[in-house]
Amino acid sequence: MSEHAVDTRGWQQTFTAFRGLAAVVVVLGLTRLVREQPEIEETGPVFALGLLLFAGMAAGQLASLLRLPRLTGYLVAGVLCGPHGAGLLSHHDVTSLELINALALALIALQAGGEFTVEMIQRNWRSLAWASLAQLVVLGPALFLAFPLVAPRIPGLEGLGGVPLWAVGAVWSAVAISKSPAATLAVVAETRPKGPVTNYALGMVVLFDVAVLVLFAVAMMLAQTFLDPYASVSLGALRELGEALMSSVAAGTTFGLLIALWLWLVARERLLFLVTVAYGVTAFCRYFHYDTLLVFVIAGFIVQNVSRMGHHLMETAREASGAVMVVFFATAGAHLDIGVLRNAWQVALVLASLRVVFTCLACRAGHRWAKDPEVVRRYGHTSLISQAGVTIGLATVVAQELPDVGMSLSSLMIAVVAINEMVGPVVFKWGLGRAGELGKGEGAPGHAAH
Amino acid sequence: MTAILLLLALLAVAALASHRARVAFAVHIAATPLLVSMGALLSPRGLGFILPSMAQAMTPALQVATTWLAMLVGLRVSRPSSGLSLPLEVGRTSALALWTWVIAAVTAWGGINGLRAAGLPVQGLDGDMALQPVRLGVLCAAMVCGTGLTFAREAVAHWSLGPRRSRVLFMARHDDAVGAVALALAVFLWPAPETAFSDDGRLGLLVLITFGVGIAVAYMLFAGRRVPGQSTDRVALVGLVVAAAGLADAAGIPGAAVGFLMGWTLAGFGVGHQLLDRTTRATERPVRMVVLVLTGVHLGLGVGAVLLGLVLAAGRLVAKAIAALALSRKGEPVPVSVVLGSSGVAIPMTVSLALTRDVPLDHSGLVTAVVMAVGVTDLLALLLWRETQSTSTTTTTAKPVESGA
Repeated sequence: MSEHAVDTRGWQQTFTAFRGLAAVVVVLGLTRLVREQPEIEETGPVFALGLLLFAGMAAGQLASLLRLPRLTGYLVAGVLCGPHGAGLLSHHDVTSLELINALALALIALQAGGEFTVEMIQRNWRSLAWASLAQLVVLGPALFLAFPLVAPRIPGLEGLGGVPLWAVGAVWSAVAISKSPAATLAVVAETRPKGPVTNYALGMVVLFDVAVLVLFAVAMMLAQTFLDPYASVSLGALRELGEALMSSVAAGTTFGLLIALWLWLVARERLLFLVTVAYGVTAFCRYFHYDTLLVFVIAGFIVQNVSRMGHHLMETAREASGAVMVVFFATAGAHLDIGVLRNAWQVALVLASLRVVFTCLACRAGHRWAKDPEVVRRYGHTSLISQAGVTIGLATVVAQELPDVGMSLSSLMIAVVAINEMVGPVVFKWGLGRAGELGKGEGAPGHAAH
Repeated sequence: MTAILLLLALLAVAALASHRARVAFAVHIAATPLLVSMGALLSPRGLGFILPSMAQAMTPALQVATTWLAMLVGLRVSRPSSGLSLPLEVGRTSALALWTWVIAAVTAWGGINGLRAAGLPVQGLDGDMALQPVRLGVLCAAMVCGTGLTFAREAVAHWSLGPRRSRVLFMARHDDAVGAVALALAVFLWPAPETAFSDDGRLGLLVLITFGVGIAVAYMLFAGRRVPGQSTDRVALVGLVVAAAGLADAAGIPGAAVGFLMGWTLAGFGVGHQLLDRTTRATERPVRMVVLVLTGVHLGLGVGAVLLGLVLAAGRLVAKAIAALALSRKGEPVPVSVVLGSSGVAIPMTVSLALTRDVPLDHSGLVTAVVMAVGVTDLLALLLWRETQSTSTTTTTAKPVESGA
């Protein structure tokens, strides 16, 4: 291709991206026309859904031009349109899109489970086991030990000391080691990579989610005990968690087998079926307090490995998740409280940097123990920086359940998530590119189906 | 949790609706009345599968769906194929629409007064007398929307109409549009004091045009000269239509009218609108099915409104039969069933109007009357089509066709 042709293509892409922004400006102009009317207090959730979808697509297009993941564009669009940004959408509007998030989480988890095959687990179990252990024994303790050094500078935690401080540190480290299956899968869905780094990333973010849930429950139990002088240590919560996790595995297996049966007997109207299953199983999990993510991951794994039609269902899930992902990440962006980041950006930056450094060290140790291939040693860690929905969910629980310090700690966690959410996908895409895995997976342009 | 249950109910509706075609043909009933009846059966007044709070919470879905459907109708507006004169064909279509409107107005006026005299006032149409002409206008505009494109296309395939093939197809595409414009105009004669732009109907109309054209311009800017149908553009289009429905609702303007104007603008100025029409057409049937079922969920079957619907159906049958005669030539008759079938636009547009004006659908005699009229004429269209098919010597082996949805 000649230099002139490359130049022209670059200009065309720039022009396309700016046209997208101009389109958003037109929509915002129309919104202003409505919002200026004194009788109209807010534009409502239907408009919020449409605006986040459209603005997310336009920002994703711009991000793609800048060689960033589209996901970064969706997040930025959400931040700018959301209640903490330009205030085009209210808190109520954003919260009312929770239904879309439920669908997105279900599709993400189902696809994540579908990425695992028995053969892949047999090939990678050693790597994943050592990597998980390294995250638990290197990253977790390092963040736990570093927390008291930073705590005096955290607004709301200045006076905390002694055992309560360590207990809060335990909660912080349990939340800080969490990863983002959603962000990882979104980057994988966009760039269609294939190779050892991709397998490592998908395996780690999904399997580690279970470990984080257990650690978080233990840390919260300790923190509640030490922060409340009248509380007593009870192992009942741990038993309940164990029961919920085992029940989630059983429910995921059952639903997976039922979906496989449906694929065998009917297999028509797959999209309608998938959406119905997503909402039906979510309602079921909420009622019985099961871990929705785990149930869908197990169900996806079972469907992929039991049914010959499993890959058709996964393809439908991939197609359906396109628009849903835009809304999911734009909503996540809209939830980010930029004000908190503005107030505590130095502390958040220090904690986020520490997390990145210790993640890399933990990865290095894990790769060495597992004798991973060179490419995984070099770029495996890039997938473990993102944090998003799961972490925000845990931070919300912290705010609700820890007396006195919960709100401060939760705000700090969300500030750190804001940094990791913006940086993580960019670093992961870069790592996949350096590993030479971009565009080699199923559905990528130029990929030959085997 | 309630929201998820609501969505599950909506999905169940979609799943039931997706199987309606086979059921419809098995029991020889046109799809529109079947789907509306299905909704009525599921509703709180029927078997109660859908709770009243759920039915209420489904209205945003109804708003978005009606906006999308109207956008598709607008997108379908195009120039006639070569050999036909644009002004002549537009004039002919408009004249036939006007004719239907006049006949519908006469029957509606007679029907309302007759029912009132008989002690059977139509709920929602018996209040403020100053509004009666406006409501009549809406009723009659809904009767104008008619010829199902699918029906006409299939019918044209069955009966080779020679040079009038293109003409019937053009009419099939456009009398929906004439009805949609008429409904959009009628809306601004129906005052609604609680909405932002209602104190001045002209201002409301201006805002409607600004929204419709503005949203279309936003899409054209986003998609540029790309070949329509790419997944990013499809998602952006869905986002814009949803945003338009939300904005219109906030401003007290019917989303369907905004959607129609958006589609029309795209048809007139967008790049490759025919390809866009083809790529989005697949969504029309499922969305319309959901709208019809949801309309059924909300419907209140007052005796007066049902009877008025039957009167309107009779008027519509007469008007369309005369229209078919006007289109026929010696030796080349145009069957009434070709122009009688409904595309289902009348119901979504009327529902959108009622929602905009905060008229609870279950208290709206207007919506019930329109649903009844459209349902009955659809049923008649299907029966006439079957009758003509059995007697026609030129029948081909083409699949049977449904009217409406």
